[in-house]
Amino acid sequence: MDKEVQKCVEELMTSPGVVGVLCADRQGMCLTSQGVANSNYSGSLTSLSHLATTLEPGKGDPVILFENHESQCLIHQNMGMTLAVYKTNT
Amino acid sequence: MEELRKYVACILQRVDGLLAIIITDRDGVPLVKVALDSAPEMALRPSYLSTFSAMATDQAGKLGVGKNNKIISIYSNYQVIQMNKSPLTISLIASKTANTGQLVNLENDLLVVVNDLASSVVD
Amino acid sequence: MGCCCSTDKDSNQNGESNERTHLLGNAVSNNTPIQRTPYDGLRYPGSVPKPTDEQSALNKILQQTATNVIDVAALDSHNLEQHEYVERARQYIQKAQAVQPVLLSKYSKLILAKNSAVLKDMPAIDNLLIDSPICVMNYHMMMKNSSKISKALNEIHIEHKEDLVVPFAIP
Repeated sequence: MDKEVQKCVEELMTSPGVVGVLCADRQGMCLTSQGVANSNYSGSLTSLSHLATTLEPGKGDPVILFENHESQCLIHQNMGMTLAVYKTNT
Repeated sequence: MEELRKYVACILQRVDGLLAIIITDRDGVPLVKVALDSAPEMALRPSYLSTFSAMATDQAGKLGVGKNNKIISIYSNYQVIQMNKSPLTISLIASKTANTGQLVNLENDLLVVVNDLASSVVD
Repeated sequence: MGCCCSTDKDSNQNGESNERTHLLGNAVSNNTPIQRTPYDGLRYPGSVPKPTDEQSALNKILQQTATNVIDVAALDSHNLEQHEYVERARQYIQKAQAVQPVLLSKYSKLILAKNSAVLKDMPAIDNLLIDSPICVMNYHMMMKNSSKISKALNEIHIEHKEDLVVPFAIP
């Protein structure tokens, strides 16, 4: 049940450098958000991963990475679920 | 007013599949209406829009989980998101595939418009 | 709501016999109607100050109950006449025109802010560009966890615990 999802997210939060995790469904509705991840942006994150998939159709879902000097944001879509992970640069 | 409309039109373009933004009073009378040609005409009628503010949101508030803020209705071809900003109502009409999360988040951008309209237009 | 109904019955059948009806009857001295939300009134029907007689108290209880009942049948009772609708839309436009100068500059600024690009110049990006596009560890972390989470999500299902529709036990 949802405890399993929560457990995965909490596990991910304890990984080195991770400061935020967000999961959203196909419609861009936030399923869970922790740390610096803001649930308001679940729609934008989902939309980004959709757009990235359209760049190379049929090649599977890409991992998107946004980064600047201090932090990174990784986005990946899997079976309709979008996972976003915020990390600080180590 | 023209600038305000332009601002709402600018927000309309920000989400793929969003077809119309309508700000109405309780009875479905529009204060601002921005719609693409492809927006379903049925959903723009006051008789449809007023069912939310006049009835649905009040009734939903009686379910014992507090005041109702917004109602998301998903139909076979369209989705309609209506937000209770008493005395006004925001209605977003979008295609079924549009990103609901993004649509809901437009609330923040539209809040300023609703507040201005509420203070200047409604007695 | 049960509380509401029981008060109703008591005062109806037993007259002055219980403490609640007594309070209602004596409240004549209090002539200032106090603004209350229907919810407050429903929760503490006995404590609502009543300027008039028992009948009005009962009416008020009835009204409060009516406002708290979800009445699906009455949902389509209200509709605006066509001419009212046109008239009001016209009024709104008029009033909005009156405040136009105040809003003009504010919204032109907002539009500008919405349309301006979010990309900005970054100093010293060489370091970022020299790095490999994505760290392999991060890539695997994303792949592993997203499949783990979506698997967990797929396992979420509704457990049937009790009936959604509960028929009242009417004898």
